[in-house]
Amino acid sequence: MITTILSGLALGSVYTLVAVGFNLTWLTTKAVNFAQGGFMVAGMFLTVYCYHQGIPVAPTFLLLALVGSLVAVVEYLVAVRPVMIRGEHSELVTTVGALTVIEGVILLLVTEEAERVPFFATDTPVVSFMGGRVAPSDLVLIVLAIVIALSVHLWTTRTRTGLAAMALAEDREAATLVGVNTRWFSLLSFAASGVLGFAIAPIVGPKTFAIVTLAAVLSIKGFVVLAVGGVGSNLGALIGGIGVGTIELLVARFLSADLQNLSVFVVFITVMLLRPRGLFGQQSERYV
Amino acid sequence: MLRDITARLTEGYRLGFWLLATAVVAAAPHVGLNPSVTRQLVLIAFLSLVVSGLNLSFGYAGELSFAQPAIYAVGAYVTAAVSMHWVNDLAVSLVISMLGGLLLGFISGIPGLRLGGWVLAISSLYLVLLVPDAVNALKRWTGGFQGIGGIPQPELFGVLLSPTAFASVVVVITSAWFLVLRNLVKSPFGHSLAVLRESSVLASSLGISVYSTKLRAYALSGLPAAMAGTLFAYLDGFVAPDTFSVSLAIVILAASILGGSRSVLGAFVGAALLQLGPMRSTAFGEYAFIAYGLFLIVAGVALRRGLAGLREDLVARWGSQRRTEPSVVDTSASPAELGLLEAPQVPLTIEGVSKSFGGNAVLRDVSCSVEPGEVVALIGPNGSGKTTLLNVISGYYKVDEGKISIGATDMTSMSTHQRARRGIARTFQTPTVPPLTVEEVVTTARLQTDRHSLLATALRLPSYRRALAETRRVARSLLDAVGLRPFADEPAQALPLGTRRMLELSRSLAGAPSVVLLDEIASGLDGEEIEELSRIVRAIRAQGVSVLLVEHNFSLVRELADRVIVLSRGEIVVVDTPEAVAEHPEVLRHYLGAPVLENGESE
Amino acid sequence: MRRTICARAGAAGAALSLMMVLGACGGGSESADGDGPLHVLYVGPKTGALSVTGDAIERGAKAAVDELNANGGVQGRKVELTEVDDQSDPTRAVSAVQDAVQGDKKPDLIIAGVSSNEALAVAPLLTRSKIIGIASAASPAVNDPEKYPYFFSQAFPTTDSIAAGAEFIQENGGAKRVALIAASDAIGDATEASSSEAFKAAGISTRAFRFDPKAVDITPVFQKAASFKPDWIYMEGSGGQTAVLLDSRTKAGLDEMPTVLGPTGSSLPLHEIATDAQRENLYATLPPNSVYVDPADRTDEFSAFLKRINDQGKLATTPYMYSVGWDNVMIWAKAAEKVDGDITGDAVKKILESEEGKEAGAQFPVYSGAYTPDNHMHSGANGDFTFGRVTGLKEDAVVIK
Repeated sequence: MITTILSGLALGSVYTLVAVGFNLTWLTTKAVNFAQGGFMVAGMFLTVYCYHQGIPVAPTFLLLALVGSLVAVVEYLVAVRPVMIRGEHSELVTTVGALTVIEGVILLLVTEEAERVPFFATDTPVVSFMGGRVAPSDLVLIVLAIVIALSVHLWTTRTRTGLAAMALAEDREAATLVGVNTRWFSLLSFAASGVLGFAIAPIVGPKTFAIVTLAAVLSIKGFVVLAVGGVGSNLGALIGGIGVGTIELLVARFLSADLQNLSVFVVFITVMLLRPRGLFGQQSERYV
Repeated sequence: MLRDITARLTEGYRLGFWLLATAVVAAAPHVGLNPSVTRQLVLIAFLSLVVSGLNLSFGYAGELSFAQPAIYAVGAYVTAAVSMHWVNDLAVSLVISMLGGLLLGFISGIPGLRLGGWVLAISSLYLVLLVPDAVNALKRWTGGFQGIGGIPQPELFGVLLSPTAFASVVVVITSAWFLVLRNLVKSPFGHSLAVLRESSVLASSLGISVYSTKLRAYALSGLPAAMAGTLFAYLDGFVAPDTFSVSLAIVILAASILGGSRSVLGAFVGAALLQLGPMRSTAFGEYAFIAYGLFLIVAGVALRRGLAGLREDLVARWGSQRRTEPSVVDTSASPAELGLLEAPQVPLTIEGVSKSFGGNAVLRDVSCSVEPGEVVALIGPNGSGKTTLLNVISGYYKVDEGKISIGATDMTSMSTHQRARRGIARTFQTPTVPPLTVEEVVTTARLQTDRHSLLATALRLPSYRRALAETRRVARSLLDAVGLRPFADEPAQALPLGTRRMLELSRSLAGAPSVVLLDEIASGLDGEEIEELSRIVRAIRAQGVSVLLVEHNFSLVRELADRVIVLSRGEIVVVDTPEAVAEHPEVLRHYLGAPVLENGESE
Repeated sequence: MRRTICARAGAAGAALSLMMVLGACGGGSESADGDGPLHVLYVGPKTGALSVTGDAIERGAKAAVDELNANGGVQGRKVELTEVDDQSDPTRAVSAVQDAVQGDKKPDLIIAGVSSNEALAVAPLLTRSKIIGIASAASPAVNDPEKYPYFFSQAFPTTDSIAAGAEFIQENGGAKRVALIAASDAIGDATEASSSEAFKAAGISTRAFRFDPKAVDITPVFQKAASFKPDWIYMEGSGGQTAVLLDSRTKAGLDEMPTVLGPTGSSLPLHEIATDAQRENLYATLPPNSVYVDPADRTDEFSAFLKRINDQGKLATTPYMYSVGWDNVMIWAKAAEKVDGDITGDAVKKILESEEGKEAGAQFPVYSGAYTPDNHMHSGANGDFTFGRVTGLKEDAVVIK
């Protein structure tokens, strides 16, 4: 039982991290970057490559952060900024396009479409923890997810720059008038989401394996968690992620593995129908 | 009259041409068209059917749903099950699949109904992810993950169809669907979709139920995909779940955008390009994903309406070159011609209305009424709550306290479109006009009064034609009354501001309202245009309609208004005649900010 | 109005002329005359999910064709190989086959993909055009000589590998209960379907525990299996799933449970993927040509095969996959060699189904099964499999303990 819960927490942590990535870009651009799942998967393949090339751990992380920020910024400039104002859901189309491009590039560069991602810290596959068995990378993953989600949450609610970002989310024009450099903020937030996606890959990879088709699934399930927790809320991303991941695996363990995906879908639809703004989301009046 | 005849002839030509083209293409496989080419044609037909479904929900209704592959799967698997376990008949399979498609299309739209946008996209994409799970769960009939083979060759009414005959049938069915689609889209129903896409706020104000229209669009969009599924199952007699993937959803989206999501035949063009492209080069296969992705990005950024839309854009640009003259046409129409005779004459009553936004009280205990045949002006400094009050009356905001009634009917808990159907019409500060002709714009306000059944629309039955003629007659008489008749066939979006305001005004009257809310309708108009406006408002008043006019232009207020309500910081300061209000010390203080003595001197 | 009519006319005209142009290309088919080359069509995934398998099979086929041509061809006629990518999509596979059948080089042999999906989709077309098709398809649906008389499967049916597995378990301590763990996909379906009979015959009761093929964590499945209290586990998954199976088994604390890994799952380099602890009680199912054989014990043909595929380049998997491609060609070639008169589909079919075909060694690998008029799939050969704990590779073949 504990083992299943720990597994669920770890799985949920993956979703949380994707959702936090979504929040980062949504705050400043009102665009949910569908390519976020692609960042993680690309990061995983890059990790495997570095591993095979014998590059040590610290430089790998550095490389991941660099590549991540670069890819995200390019995506922002090419696929997001030009369509931000329009509001015709164009950024939905363009970020889906960006994800597809990332998948295409991965397919072009790798030979195996599914690879094992080795955990850098240790070779032990399993440790005992609180009465259950869990992979060490899973433990690190859970801790990191909590730390990251809470940090971003505190940043947006307590620090000046964070509040500025929230202001941007509320009203872009007003924020500009108050002196917030919106362009710069948007760019930086995208870079941050790229760094998050790529650099977290060595921790997530050992759990999920680097699989090309995972990119879309992560984005989709990450969005489910985002919606359930409330778009824009990092606390929501944390609680939502943990909740969804745990439910998913409990269903698999005690009901049937075939019902896994369906159970998440049911949770999603239920929350959307009963509380459309999500658990911690903002109620918004419609503007005419 | 002559226009009608020309229109009928043109339609006749169009239909004839379409039938001819279909006959030629359908006959081609039989007169020696290479079987490989026939197969490609058939595959293109499938893809174009599925893409046209996406066009309905995305291009026309404006909401992106990725449900098509899931509906395609339903069509294919239902056909497999029916033909293998019950009866093998193409027509039977088609009908059952289409019912399934309608249902799934409808269901797939529900999650995103309130929130639209992302929630719809993600939940529909999730449906595609669930296809393998569903196929696996129903293994007995679907063959599970390894797919199901041995679907028999199709029979149609007892006749076994050879591959060439099947290809012809595919062509005929595809062509028939596109004809129906065209009929649906170029009709009042299609116009309601255009309005919805342009602005759901506008749609509600015209009495169009956003939810029910969207659901209808989603349901209809399931039809072609289900048809394609049936035909696909019969093509190779084999169906596997891998076909219905997220990748397919992306290809469909790309094809839709490429051909033009709002063009009827665009689906065919996009499908042809995306079916033939990858087939012709294997090297492309390696770069396929990158190509699709880049295309989506470029298209999303640049080509908003695809190749076919490019043409539309050019037309619109050229159209606007011929700048229309301001409406100096002076036809003094009689009230009867304004076609408002049907509306019941009832007052609009607002009692004790309060509204706050997050702790900010915008309206405090506001009460007033507008009697039939009365023009009431609502004025106040910026931020006083005028627009909020209008929105509360329209129904866009729910009141925290208070009651809003029209006549004896309490509307406080009604939604916007319900209020519009009860006789509340309004204009907006910035005229919102969908990409339709001037005449069509006016008819959009009659969508609730002149209902056209979807079936009659799709088949262009006589009942539809009659109803449409009546709608257009009413629209044209309204255009006459406001002097816009010469512009009836011009694209509305190309009109200058003044003319667009008049158009909005005539649109607001088309629905035979009892109450008309005008939101700063004179702003941006020149002297002559304001004259024209006055004349029409007076005519409306003479008709017994209640008019509430939000205005900054005080001389217009003085001319038109029977009473003036002054609002400041959410409270009513005074309600009186224009003259009395103009000299009221409180009013002057709120507007000018300094206390003013009775004799007009300030301290 | 006129504008739109013109636009429509233009569109329709463009469409029609496009069709004419396409129709002009690809004329009628040439019948293979008595002396011209023989054509082999390989349709398989160069891109997509099974591209690694496809690549290996394609290389094997190419090696076989090269070998044939180096030794005078078939009945003195050169053999030409055409390769077409179907992107792992059965519909594309059918399109490609149809294209070829219409074209100038009507194939004499079609290697119909690398999975049952493709084979099932293509089979009806083979029947219509009377062309021999051979593929590594394990689904029983495709083994239907009445519906698909020209299709022969080179794969061993899953029943064989499972029966062999059951035998292995019997010989190594026996079991009362075996937990069957397999994905909810085609391979898993076949595994579950075959297992009940094989294990029942050995007096072992089984229960199947299936998992989502795309699942990211299947520890719950192993935990469920553990609560069944099995003596042995039999688990099977495609290449990408092997690692997931291994890790989830470990997380569920079952590294010490004796486990047989099915043939598909075993096709990966287990000594690289699995830790020592995981391999301690793990027995891989190894088909022929994946286990290392001493040079002195190799047949001439096997040696020739090994030389050719190694000359082509580095091997991505064990030689087994490549031998599949080689077989697909050689089975046909050896039967065709025996034909009197025109090498037609019917003629080759007759040979394949007869004793003559078996004697010709038309089954290159060490399969002892045979085709008959009622059965177009190898079967009945438990002895073909080797079981063991994988310790490493030698010359790309697996070494076991």
